[in-house]
Amino acid sequence: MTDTAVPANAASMPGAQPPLPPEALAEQIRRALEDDALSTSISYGLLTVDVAPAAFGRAARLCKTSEALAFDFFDFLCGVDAGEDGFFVVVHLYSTTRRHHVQLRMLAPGGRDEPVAPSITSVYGGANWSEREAYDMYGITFTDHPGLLPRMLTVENFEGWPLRKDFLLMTREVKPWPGAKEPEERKDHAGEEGGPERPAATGVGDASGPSTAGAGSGMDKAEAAKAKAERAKAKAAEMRAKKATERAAAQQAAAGSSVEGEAAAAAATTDQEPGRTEPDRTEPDSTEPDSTEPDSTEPDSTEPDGAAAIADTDIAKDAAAGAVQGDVAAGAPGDSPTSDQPIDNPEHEAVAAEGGAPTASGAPGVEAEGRHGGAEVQSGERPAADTPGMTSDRPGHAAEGLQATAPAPQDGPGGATAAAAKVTRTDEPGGADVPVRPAPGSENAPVATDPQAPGQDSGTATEVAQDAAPIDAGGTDAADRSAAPDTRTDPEASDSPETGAGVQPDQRDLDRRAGEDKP
Amino acid sequence: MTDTIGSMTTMGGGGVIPGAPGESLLVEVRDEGQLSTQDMTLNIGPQHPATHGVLRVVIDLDGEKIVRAQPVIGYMHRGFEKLAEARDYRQIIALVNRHDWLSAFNNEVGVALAVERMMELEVPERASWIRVLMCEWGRVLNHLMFVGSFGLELGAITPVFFAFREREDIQHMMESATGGRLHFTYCRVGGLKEDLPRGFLRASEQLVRIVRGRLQEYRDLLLDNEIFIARTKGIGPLSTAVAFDYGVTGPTLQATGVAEDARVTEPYMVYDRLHVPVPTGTTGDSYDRFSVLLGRIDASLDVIEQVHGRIPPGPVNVKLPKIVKAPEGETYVRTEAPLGQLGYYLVSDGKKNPWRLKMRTPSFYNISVLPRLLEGALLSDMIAILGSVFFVVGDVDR
Repeated sequence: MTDTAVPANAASMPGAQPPLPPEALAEQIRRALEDDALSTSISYGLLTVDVAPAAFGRAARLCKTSEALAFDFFDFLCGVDAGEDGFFVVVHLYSTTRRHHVQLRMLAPGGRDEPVAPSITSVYGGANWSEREAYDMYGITFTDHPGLLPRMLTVENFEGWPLRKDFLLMTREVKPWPGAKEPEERKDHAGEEGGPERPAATGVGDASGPSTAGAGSGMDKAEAAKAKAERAKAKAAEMRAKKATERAAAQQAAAGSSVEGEAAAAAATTDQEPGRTEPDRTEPDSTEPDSTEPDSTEPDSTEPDGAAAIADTDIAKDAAAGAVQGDVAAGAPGDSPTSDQPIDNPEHEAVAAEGGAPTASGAPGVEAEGRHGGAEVQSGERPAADTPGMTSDRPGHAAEGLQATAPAPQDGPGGATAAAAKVTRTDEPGGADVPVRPAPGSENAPVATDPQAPGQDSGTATEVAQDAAPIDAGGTDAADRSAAPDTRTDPEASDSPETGAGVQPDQRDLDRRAGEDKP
Repeated sequence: MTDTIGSMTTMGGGGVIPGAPGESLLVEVRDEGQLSTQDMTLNIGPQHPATHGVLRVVIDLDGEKIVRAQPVIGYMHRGFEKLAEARDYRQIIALVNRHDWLSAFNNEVGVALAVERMMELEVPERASWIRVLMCEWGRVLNHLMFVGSFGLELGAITPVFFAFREREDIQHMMESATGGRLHFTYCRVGGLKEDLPRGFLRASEQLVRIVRGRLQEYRDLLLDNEIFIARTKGIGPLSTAVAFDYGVTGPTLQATGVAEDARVTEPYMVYDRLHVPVPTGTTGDSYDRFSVLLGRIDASLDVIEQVHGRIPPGPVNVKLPKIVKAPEGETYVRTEAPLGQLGYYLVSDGKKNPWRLKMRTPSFYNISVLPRLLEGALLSDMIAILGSVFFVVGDVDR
């Protein structure tokens, strides 16, 4: 393996001369090139000869024609970013008769602004395309080249020199790697990612050049994403205010035990759900929600009118009583006509968007998976209170965790109701064939009587999951995520009339009002 | 029609009758009887089947003769060299098996060798031997593809069916070990992803026999085919000096009569302990290039047979740190990929991403000699030349 570094094995070839060791070759080249060779170095078996820029063509010709060197084979030529010094041009030559290899290196004069190098196309024909490529990638101009244009690998009106270190890889700038790549990197990976790693290379380069423009547009993108998140946040705040009044109304209605009241209560309690969606913690921009809205992470304790208040209502008591009888669950959500369509709930999306940065493309999660998650909950495999940890680390799995807990929001506003849910679940092994049956905790019983509400649950929960899962802007790194058909991505785009009207008629007005705030 | 041409020739000095029917079809006859024709520029590609993807060749024609040919590349440039600078070495292995998608494993090995050399990592013997085995099967896979496609381009449809029959068997076997059919990602820095599955070597032995037995079918179908000979013999000859000058490698170089093969001249892995036959041609024309290609399949099967039974027991990878970092410095690893010399020039600043990873791909340099090959050829021979300079567009554009 490592013996490849020393090409001594070539001697095994019959009739072949043993190639010179790099040290001897360096000596020979120094003698041949005389003053043109500035220095020689050997790195991992690779002999590098630094050549004065003015003598580069002469040195290449000498390497080719000299009897002792006989570098007849043109291997390749390319540019290398040399930080603030500018750019190297390296040429690799090989001798098929003597079996030795050399790298001629030259620091192109002109720094980062106008790197210029002499062309060696007249010496080695293969250098023609190589130099065109180096021009394309680094903007190094080769004098006496038969024609560097049209641009070879990029499009003709491409701006910038892609392989320069100050040309940023935009997918990584707009959206850093969404997860932790290495176990110990979790904390610092966001800062480390992207951009020139040698500080020297950062500030230098053509300030007027297109690379700067590229960076600028990247900033715009990030700015836009941030603004979008702000808007979503504002909307979410409005939603919360509305939610509080709604809950009060629900309690009032529940006292009357009317069906409408139950539905309203169901809506109110499911409103708790998105509050529990943990924003993606690995997202650098989304740290604020954790600190500013503690209720988003801790649904039980910080909700003032949480557990006790709701557990005390008549409806909760009714629900707890009705659940064990087993007949309330007759209207399985899978049977409801609307349940196979995800039902939009702008509020949920808004809260989710508040947590994670808004994304430009799809995310895993369809309502079928949501129902599947519900079944899991029912079978008791997944504890009810697992959400925050589930969603924080692996964005791809955030969806899974949310789906699992979404249809069973029993621990939303109250620890007491969560306990009740647990008890009833263990008591009821027979309900496994029902796709989503909300765990019969206190406030979920009305959900079971109203077939629409669970459908809403599963649908919205998946949407929340969709929005919570960050998406790689480049799309190239999403391979490890489960790819599900993307239904809708934009929180604003989702207030379609039929679904929105089905859930909460006045929410769409709210949404519209929130939309008016947008610039 | 006959009348007009007749009347034109009687005019002696040439010229056309103004306003005559079919005026635009008339041509001027000069003194030597040579027809003077209008120059014409013809675009072949980027969606021409003979270009195997998206290569475009702009051809200036004088009649049927190619005056000037200019390949236009970059339609499939995916910025692999830039992407590699934002990836760690594990990820790069998955990246590089995509530039030449017909020789995925051979590409992976190149990167792994470069990183291992810089880390001064001793790769387990067993891993090296298995790597050789997989490299050679990858080579057979690649060459079979071109055997089929070249025949197809020249109008023979049978070879491609035959080739895919073998390819399917080989891919099936490779899949059993790697889990992939095209992008194996089986190589790792320091060894391999995992050991061979039970029964792999037996399947491999069996396949060698099958493929070798069927190689004769290709020779019968193509090399001994009168039409094939007429279309390829003496077409697009290349001299060794020009090939060296342009960095042409692989079957295209070997067809010129040079046994230059990195497996032999600068052996890596355990190639120094194997006998690698290097078939060569004489004139470097299309026929030679193709027969060298077929010969290389045979040679690879030879090597595979040598590897069988010599794979020592032991581990197939070494324990690596959680983050693989190549120390500061630079190195250049050249390997013999199926299409020619594949080199990875790796410059590291000691971080987990390379500072620079130049992919010296064989197709890029093999294609760069096309202007020289096509100049002076007839347009109808273009396909025979283009198809015999074996290349993959992804390998050209990266």
